Amino acid sequence: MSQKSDEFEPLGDNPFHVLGLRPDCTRVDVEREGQKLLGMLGLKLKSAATYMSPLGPRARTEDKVRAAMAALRDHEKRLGHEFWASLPPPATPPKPPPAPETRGPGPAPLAEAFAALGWRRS
Amino acid sequence: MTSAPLYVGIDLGTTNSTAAVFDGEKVALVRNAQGSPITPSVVRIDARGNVSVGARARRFLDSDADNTRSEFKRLMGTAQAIRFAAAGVERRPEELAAEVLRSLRADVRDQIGVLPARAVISVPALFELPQTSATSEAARLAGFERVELLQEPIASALAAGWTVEDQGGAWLVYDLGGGTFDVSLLETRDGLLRVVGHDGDNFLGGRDFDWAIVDWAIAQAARDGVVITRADPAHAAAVRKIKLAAEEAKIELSRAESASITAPGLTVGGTDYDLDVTLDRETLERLCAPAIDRSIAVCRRLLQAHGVAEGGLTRVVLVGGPSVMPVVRRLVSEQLSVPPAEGLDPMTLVAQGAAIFAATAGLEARPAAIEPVRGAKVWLQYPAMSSDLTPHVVGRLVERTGPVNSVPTEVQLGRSDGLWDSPWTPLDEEGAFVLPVSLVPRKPNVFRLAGKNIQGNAVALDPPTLTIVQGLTISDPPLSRTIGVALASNDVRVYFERGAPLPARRTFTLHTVDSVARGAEKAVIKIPIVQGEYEQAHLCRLVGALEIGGKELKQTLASGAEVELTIELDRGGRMSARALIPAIGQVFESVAHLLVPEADPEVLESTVTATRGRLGELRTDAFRRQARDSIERLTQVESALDDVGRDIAAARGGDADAAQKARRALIEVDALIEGVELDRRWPELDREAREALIWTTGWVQDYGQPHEQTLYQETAKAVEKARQGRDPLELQRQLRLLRRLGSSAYGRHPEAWKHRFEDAAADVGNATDVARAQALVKEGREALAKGDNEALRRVTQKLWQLLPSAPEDRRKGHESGVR
Amino acid sequence: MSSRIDAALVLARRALSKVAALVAAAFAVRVLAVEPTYAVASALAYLILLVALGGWLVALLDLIGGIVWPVLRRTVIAAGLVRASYWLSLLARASWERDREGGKLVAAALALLHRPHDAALATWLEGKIHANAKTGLGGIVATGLLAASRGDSDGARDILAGADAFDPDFAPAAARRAANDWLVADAASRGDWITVIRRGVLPGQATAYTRFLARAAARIRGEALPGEPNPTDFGLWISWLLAPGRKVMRPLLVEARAAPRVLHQRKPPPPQPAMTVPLVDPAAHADDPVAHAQALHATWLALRPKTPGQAGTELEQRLSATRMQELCRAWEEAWPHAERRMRQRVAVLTTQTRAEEALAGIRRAVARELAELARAARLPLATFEVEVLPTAALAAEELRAELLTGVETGSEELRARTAADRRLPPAEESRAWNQFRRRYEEAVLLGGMPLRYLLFPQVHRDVCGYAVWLWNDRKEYGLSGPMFRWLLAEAEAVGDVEAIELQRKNVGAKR
Repeated sequence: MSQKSDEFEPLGDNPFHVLGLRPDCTRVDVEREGQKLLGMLGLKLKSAATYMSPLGPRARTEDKVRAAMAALRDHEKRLGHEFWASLPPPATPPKPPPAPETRGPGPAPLAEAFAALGWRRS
Repeated sequence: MTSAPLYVGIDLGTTNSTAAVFDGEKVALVRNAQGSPITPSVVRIDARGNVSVGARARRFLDSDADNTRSEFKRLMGTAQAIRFAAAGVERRPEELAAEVLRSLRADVRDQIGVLPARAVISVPALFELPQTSATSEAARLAGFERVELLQEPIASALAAGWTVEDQGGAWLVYDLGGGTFDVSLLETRDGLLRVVGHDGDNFLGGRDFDWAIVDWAIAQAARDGVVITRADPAHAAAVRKIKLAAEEAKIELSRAESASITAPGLTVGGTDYDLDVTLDRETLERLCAPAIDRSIAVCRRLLQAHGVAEGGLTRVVLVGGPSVMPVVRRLVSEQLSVPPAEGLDPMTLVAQGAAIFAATAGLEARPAAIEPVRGAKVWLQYPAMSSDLTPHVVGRLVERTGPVNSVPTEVQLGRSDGLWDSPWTPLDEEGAFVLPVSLVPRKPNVFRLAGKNIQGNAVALDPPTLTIVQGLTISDPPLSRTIGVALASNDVRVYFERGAPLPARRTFTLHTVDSVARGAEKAVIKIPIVQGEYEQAHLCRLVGALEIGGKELKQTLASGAEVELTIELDRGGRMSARALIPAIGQVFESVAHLLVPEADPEVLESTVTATRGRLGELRTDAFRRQARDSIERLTQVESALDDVGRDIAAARGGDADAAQKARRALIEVDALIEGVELDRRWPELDREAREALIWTTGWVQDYGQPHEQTLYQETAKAVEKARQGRDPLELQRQLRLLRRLGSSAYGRHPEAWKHRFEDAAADVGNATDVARAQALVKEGREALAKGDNEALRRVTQKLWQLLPSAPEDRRKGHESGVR
Repeated sequence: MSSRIDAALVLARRALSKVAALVAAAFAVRVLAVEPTYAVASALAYLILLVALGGWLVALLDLIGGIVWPVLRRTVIAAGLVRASYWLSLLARASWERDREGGKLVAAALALLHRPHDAALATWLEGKIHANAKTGLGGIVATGLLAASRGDSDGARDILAGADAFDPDFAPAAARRAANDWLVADAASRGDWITVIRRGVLPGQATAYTRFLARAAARIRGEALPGEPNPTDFGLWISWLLAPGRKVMRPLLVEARAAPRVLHQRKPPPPQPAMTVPLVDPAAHADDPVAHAQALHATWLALRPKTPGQAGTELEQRLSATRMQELCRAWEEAWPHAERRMRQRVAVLTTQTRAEEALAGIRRAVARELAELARAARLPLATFEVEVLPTAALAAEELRAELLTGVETGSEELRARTAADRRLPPAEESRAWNQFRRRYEEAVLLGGMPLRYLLFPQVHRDVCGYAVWLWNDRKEYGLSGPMFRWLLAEAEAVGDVEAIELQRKNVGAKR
């Protein structure tokens, strides 16, 4: 059976991270924060467009916020999400990715490999 | 623009329809031209093509049945056309529903003075996609520019919650309509209503009471020697008259102790007959009890599924016409040990809830008027209705350029009662602000929006005010049934589970099974979208299909190509789907045939016959195995099949609704049987495993090579583990290996090929080419006589090739082209 | 014998058509002679005569030296003349003797790569490919090159890699070289030098272009090439001189010559790219075992490749068996704490789910992700400490089930398609088979002998049936021959006596 339940990626899409809340928040906090974020996303405000997760910054969408609110309203589901939210997301944005010099030994990718044959690059 | 908001809710019922309006504080029912808040869902088209709706049409239901139609809601989403003989026209069910909606819309205009452009319409909780989509279509035909659909139990709960002060705990909405039964388990906490779950029976309702009374009346008539058959089209008119009389008697018995069923002038078998029998309340209760018991069983199932113990409910709200009957209220309350909520009108509660929900959804009924801009334009986002006492208002300036004096840099919100003002808040670099506001409970709260420019002078903002109603709100409406895509393996890739909040959107990457050449007319990849809770696609209902045809393809599509399929559902549960094929960058969007399949009585009958055959086999087997659980489930199947048989008979008499009911029941029967078969297969597999262990052990010990013996031991362990874990897939896998090991070892036995040859020779009658197989057998016997083992092996192998392999599995997954 | 007669007949037919052309030319001269434009008409007629005779001449030259194809590649094809390339490749008889139609398709597909993308021409070529009922490697390679021309590099890579699995007896070398050229260029442009070195000097497929790239890469990386020593300065220079695109490849030559020459074959030092800085530092959560396990988990999850199946990722280089054990151990330490915490929360939230049930669900989710990590990092199942660590055992179980199901589903699909006689276009057929084979090989790589034993009976049954169908019913000898050889090798690996015997016979079968 290839049924996959409607679950979040536990760490990256954790509803608490999506709503920017911690596991000890109340039900009212969930509604209030969710409603605020939906409003901000509706007006395309940049400050609401991303959230931090332990796997890095992720895009916040209205669908995700709605799903996160629904998940935290349901205590059975909330229980599992609380577990995964034990790890707080990093406060600071991640460091920039390592410089391209960090490749293994060997020549750099040869961008002109196709041109050498007179071909277009696919 | 008037300051009080106006929200419209409509309960489009099977038997009756109602409209209600909400102004943020109070709900009012809309009365029709006859002064009643209830409009019968009946449409009549006369010979001149004039359409009449409601009570005026209902009068003709008896006398002019061919031109007067009711209960068309049950046919919503089917292709069934409804014929009006005198006018010689045909109408789709949604066209008739549109007539009712149009009439209710006109009533609102007559009473309030506004022809509503937006509204909320209620639908049964277990309506499937084709039915919801037909309802939306009806609203569009009736002239609404935007509607949202709301499930009936949520509407009732919202209305009940709005009226009742004390709201804590779990409660039940028991909604027995004319033709459908829904039950919802709800929970209220912190002013927020949550649907914990719902269940129901799409084909149980007050109509079952009516038919029970009709059957009783027919039985009474039989005592007079008059035989009336429901399935006989010649008796259709008589049956209709009896049914009307039965309905009236039923209503009367809500108050009186006895009532008479009078239907004079029935024509049966060429003779006239006057039916006049007296029905007392006791008999009525006896007749209705089975249907009520069925509904209570559904309630128990729901409570059990959500772990609510007996007596764990705070109250039950009874909704729908038939629930007015004292017997219904008594039995439900007694059997579920829960007090019924008092003071609520079961007939109009749904419409009231729909009107309140229109506020939550911000569906202002007045058509949007084009008004001059009166200052700096601001986009606002705020909840039209909020249970939270301090919700947020988010705003953003549309234009941030212009003369410095006219561009605000700070904003403030102030409540119109003058008791609360927000601090002056500077706009951020995007020209936006986020402000919490304070609400007065259970009232519409009007806030004025004020702005200041850089010099501190006032700047007019547009809109100047906004209204937020405080009160019980419902979280996003939940999806009534699981939606997914049928895969070629007959599995379902679930997109949205039952209860998922709407609106919702999800994308999964699927893979094509076959390739489709560009321009190939017949080649189509079908992506079937199904709805239902079953794990196997063929048991779920096909509600739409997205097709990728060779004709539309820009390039040839490879097999195994990725298809990113997105399914989107709006708040009313309306679906749209979109398939992106990244390899060729093409998008397909048209979803084909969103219809409930036709249910032809002949086809249904043959399915019943086939199912009975299967049932017989399974039952024999279950008795042999003494499998009590299976026997019990098969008994259930049998009684369901009897019901189906009755429905098919009614369908033959022209009752299209009964045909749909039968079709649906057959799907459920199929699922039950499937479960029994699964149980049956396991012992067989288990036995095979035990047998295989016995025969292989000896061979591998005697003739196996050392590495085979080691592997054998591991495999035997794995077989045991799979048996203990009741894992059929793993067991089959290990069995294959076990057999192979055994057979390899056995192959080294000097007499092995002799035995194999004999086995194959015994099966020669099934060969694809019997003559050639017989020749081979003869050849084999000669080799056997000569003791030529090598020749015997050759012959046996050739023989094997002529014997049939297992037949190809049926492709059940709605012919899905994706995996 | 009969094939010789056939060939003679074919030649006779072609000669006849040439004669007809000459007659037509003469007729044209006569008709035009009565017109005043006599000079033009005669010039035209002579031109036709010349082309007809020229065709013969070229064909003759080609038969002697097989020179037409190389000339075409450098002229008409290089000029991007798609239709002309298609028709003129008919003259390259020697190069495309076994797959005449395929030669036309490959020529056109190559020409398409030599010009700016032209959707109409691509569609035209696609029509030609579909019209070609007879399968040959040419059709497959042309499909791959067409995909490349349309920008579908992944698709092209998949299809063209199938050329390796095609029976060389039925595969024109020109087609295999064209496929290999593209695959090497693609690998070089992605910086996948291991593939360049492996493919660049493949006998029967290598060209001057691929040889130079492989030698330069081998020299820079200090690696030996398959079957030849690390190249000298002079050797590099000669390879460069022979290769096309000297100007753009000059910097590579300079870089290679500057690298020291390694005379003895040695394994390249393990690549040590700087590790991506983890977002959350597991050490910062040492006092909370649950957060510590999650932080460690997050560190590895963050390194998952963006596209599944991607090779040589940071995760693959970093996540060793020891580190996987460390992760599993961290989870093992976290569970008792998690359970305690869960019990408290269950009481507060008054949920129906018991703490153990909720935790069991989480353990399964963790195991699924660990299995996914192990698969992406290519960690064999045997390296899981299943006896000591229950979390590792659960993850191993998940991975095993995933690998088995993947192969079984693929195998079942082949069987179903065979039974239903559902045919795919040749390129698709080749791709479907290669995809299945890769899946099987991955399962064997990660699952080892136990999985191989477990899978082989079903795979043998289904693939053998599929290959027999390709051979008997569809005459796809080029595809099915290698399948029998593959099955034989697998049967030998698992020691299945009956299968070995059967496949030996199949491999020996002649069309």
